[in-house]
Amino acid sequence: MSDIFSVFMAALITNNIVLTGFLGICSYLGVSKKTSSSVGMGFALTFVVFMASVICYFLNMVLVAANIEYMQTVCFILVIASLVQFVEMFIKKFSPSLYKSLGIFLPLITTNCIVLYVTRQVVEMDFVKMIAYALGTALGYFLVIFIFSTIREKLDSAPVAKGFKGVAIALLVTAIMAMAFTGFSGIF
Amino acid sequence: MKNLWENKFVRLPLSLAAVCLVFSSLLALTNFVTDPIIASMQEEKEKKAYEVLYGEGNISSREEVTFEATDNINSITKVVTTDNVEHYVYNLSTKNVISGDFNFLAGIKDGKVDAYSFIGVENNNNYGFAEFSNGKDRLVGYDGSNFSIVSGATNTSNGFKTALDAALAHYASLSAEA
Amino acid sequence: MDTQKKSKIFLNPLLKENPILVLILGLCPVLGVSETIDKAIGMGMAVILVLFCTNLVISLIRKLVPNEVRIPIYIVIIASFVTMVQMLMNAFTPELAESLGAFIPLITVNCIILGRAEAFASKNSVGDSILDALGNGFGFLIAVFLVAFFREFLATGGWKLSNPFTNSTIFEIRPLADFAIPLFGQNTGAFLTLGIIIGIVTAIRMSSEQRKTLKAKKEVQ
Repeated sequence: MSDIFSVFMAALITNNIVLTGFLGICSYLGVSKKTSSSVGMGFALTFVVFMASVICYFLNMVLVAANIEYMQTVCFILVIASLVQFVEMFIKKFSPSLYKSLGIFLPLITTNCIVLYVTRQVVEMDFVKMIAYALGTALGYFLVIFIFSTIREKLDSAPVAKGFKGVAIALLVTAIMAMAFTGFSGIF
Repeated sequence: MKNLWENKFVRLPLSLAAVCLVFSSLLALTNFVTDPIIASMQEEKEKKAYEVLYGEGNISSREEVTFEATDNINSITKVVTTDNVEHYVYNLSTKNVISGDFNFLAGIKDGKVDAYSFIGVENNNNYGFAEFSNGKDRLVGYDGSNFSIVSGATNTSNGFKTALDAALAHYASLSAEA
Repeated sequence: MDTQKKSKIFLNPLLKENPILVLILGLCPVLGVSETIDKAIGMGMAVILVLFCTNLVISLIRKLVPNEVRIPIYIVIIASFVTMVQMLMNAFTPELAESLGAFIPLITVNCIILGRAEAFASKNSVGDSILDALGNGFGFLIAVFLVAFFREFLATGGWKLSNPFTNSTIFEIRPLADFAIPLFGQNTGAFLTLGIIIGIVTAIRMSSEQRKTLKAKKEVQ
């Protein structure tokens, strides 16, 4: 039980996927301009990561049995793309208001580095620890993007030097957040 | 024939299937060419790791030991060094370490770990790894009860501890038989 | 006129419309591989190779691909080329492949590659697509090299370049090794360096644009 907890906490905080693994930066910078959109993106990504890692876990067993393990990237990315398409159709049909608020984010999840990275990492793990890892990683992304969006809303009205407005100052603030998260490395 | 091609339900899956087929065969070809090279390099890496373990050229004999397959143990070798001391070298893999599992050799004698080395480049996107790398000798002297390294969320150090525990348990069963 | 247009296709993405520093696409690998110039150059060459192959193939088959399934087909093509490059790197440049680690298969979801395929290669001739691929690829290489140049210098006081095929060092100079700041080798330093570089580049661009509009206004008067 403590093993599962350590996997979850490692994925969530000490080895946070955005601040330590440098993945998901494009969407992190693009979506965090408003808190509401970052919350929507966080939920959507958590769902896709969870489903994709479960499906790809079992798909990988098939690939290994058939001795075509080199097809891993191609198969996984096709699974992710079709999963995102399927989720988009599903949400459009059953909750048009949610679809409108999520808008452009769902198709963007296909090219989000996090999903492909997590599906590739989990194929060697035990099933329960795999679930903990996938959820921990996605919630780690959610946590960081939420914190950052609250900062960024204030940042837009702050007097920033010419040229640094926008992406550059966002990256500098992320640097400070990364430094803060390094402090968690001895706690659990 | 042309009418068939115009039909959407024939054209779309057919073109997708054609592309998949062409590229899968290209991938199979590349795999066929590169697989033997990668396999031979893996053997060399393991050889180098053996040399790091007890010093270059100090191993006078090696003998494979059969064992029941477990999660962490890949292979066991009985090694006799030039000073006529018997060591059991375990080829171990950690499991469930989230930034990538490690493959390493651990030499065990008298129920204690007396040397270890990593197979391959010890470069990993992992905060807790710095404590274990070659030359730091942090795992030497572990005998099942005195694990002294704790990585951030204990995920990495748990992985190493589990792997070493499995090796020590097997060693204990060997001495119990003897 | 034609050669001027063609040279623009190649030269634009190098600096003026650099995919990383100006368009802010595909940032994920930049932060991950910019610790040393070895890794940066290796990653840059891998991206150039993948971009070249995918733009070539997609431009060749652009008239045959039905519109509705074009995205899955592009994804299959990109993923296949990335896997091929990964297998070749594992076989011929093992140390580089191991140090780049998980970032090689992540080239598949790099926004630059799918973006160029969708926006350019699917609509233009083979020659133009190749030029565009090389332009964007070298633009990526320049950006990553720039970040790695400063990061490695600040983190270790110098640079080391080695031959990836034989793992022999070409040169290693560390003039300021005593003043190294290891912070820049870690995650905080990555964000800091990239942020400062993008800020400076944006400031230079903005001031040069201001100067151009001022000059145009003066000429009108």
